[in-house]
Amino acid sequence: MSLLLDGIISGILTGGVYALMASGLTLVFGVLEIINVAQGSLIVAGAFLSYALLTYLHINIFLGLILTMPFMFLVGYVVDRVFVRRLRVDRVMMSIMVTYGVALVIDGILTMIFSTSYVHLQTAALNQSFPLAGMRVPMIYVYVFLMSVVFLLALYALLYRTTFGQALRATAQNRNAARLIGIDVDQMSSITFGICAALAAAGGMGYGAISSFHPNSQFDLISRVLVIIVLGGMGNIGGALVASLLMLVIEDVVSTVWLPNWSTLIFFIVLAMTLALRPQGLFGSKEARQQ
Amino acid sequence: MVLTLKDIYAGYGGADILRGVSLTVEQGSLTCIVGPNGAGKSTVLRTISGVIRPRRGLVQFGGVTINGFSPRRILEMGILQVPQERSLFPQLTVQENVRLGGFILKDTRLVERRLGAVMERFPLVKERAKELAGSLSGGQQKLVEFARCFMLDPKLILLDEPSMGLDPQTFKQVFAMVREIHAEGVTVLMVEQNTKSGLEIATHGVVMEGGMVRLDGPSQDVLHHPRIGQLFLGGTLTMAK
Repeated sequence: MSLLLDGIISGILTGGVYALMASGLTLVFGVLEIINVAQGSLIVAGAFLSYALLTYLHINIFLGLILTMPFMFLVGYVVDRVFVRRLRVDRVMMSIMVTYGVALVIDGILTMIFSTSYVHLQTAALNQSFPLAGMRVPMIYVYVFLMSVVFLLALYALLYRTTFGQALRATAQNRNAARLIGIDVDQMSSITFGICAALAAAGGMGYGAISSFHPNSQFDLISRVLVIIVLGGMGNIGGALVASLLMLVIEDVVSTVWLPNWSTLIFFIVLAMTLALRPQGLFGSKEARQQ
Repeated sequence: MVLTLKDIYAGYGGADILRGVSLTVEQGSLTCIVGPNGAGKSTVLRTISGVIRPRRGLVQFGGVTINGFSPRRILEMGILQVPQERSLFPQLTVQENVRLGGFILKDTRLVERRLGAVMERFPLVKERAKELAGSLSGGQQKLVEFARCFMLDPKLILLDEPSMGLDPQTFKQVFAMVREIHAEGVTVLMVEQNTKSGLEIATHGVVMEGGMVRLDGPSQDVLHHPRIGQLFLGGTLTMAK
């Protein structure tokens, strides 16, 4: 029983971080109608930026977000302006090619600077824990979970409580109509890509705080966050949150109660069964699925 | 005159749909463009609203050449377009949709004041304010699209086939709304497939065919032109003007 509880708590705490990492990807799909496979690299880049600030300048990883998030916002903004905005035909397929190219470039730069060795964000919170239901929960998991919740709530507030958010959602629903009421759709797309990259910076920091990483970690990350947004429903942020929690809880419970080797397989069985019943994902629209 | 198009060539992907279109829209008029499918009627409206840029020619509004202006800048000049296809955002509420009509306004208090005025004027907007726009019928959505125009101060409204896909009852409502908007002094340029209905409520008529203007003048003259029936039976007005 305590193993089951352990798996559930651990799954929820790490699921929050994955939700944050997936939220940017699903936002970009919703607004730009493209699949950004560079998201994994952006997350790893965010993790390495936090690592560099912590290691060389001794800046706390949470405080460091004040620097890394705006920087990554600019990176995302520029990537959209230079590469994505130029895609006029077959945007979904072409975006996969283009953003994969961007991912390889980021990957190469990170490898050049940091080599391919595994690193970890070493913080004092790593060695702190507190007792809960007969086990000890590492404080760092709680901190990054809370950080993820704060950023997801901020994203929700931005999307649903501001005129900018209304315009963003309007752009996602009908780009031509948005243009006709004076929304600068191109600018909105670049800002969205910037937000996606900024969220990747925060998500990357969270990821780096609870697990080791290296430049090639992006391949594992992108496959996981893609699966999350497919399960949650492409373009649906709430769906990404539920799918992240579901995925991580299933994986952690299977891993702790049964065997780690089976955790991913069981999750993919759940995914396949869900998609067989709801091809558009848990909360997705049929239109998004057709794309 | 409020709007002038001179020798406009425009289209999509390098191919010209409009081939030398020249027309004028008088201040306070309700001008209706009619013509068979593929005549370039909607392309005229898209060219005026800045969605597509003319390859050649001149678009002037109130004496100002607006060729190459962004859709936003054209909107700021008071030219609003209600497109043929649905242009509400289905997953936003009716109120959010209407409020977004004032997106380009910087003064948030003015936006709220205008929203209040629009809700008073259009009971449908007030009654269904909190409902998702996608839950409205096609005709209701069209009326909300009209309502949204009044979040700004429209000087020229471009209506692209407002009757398309509407049942007879809603058709009447929508046309009554077009008349009302015009009666308030707003200049309207409308494209309409339903030639008779469109020209009957218009003050001026324009007949397009093959990307060119074939006939224009007072709407009643255009409606009763001896060769207009021929045009819609597969003939041509090439020599009629």
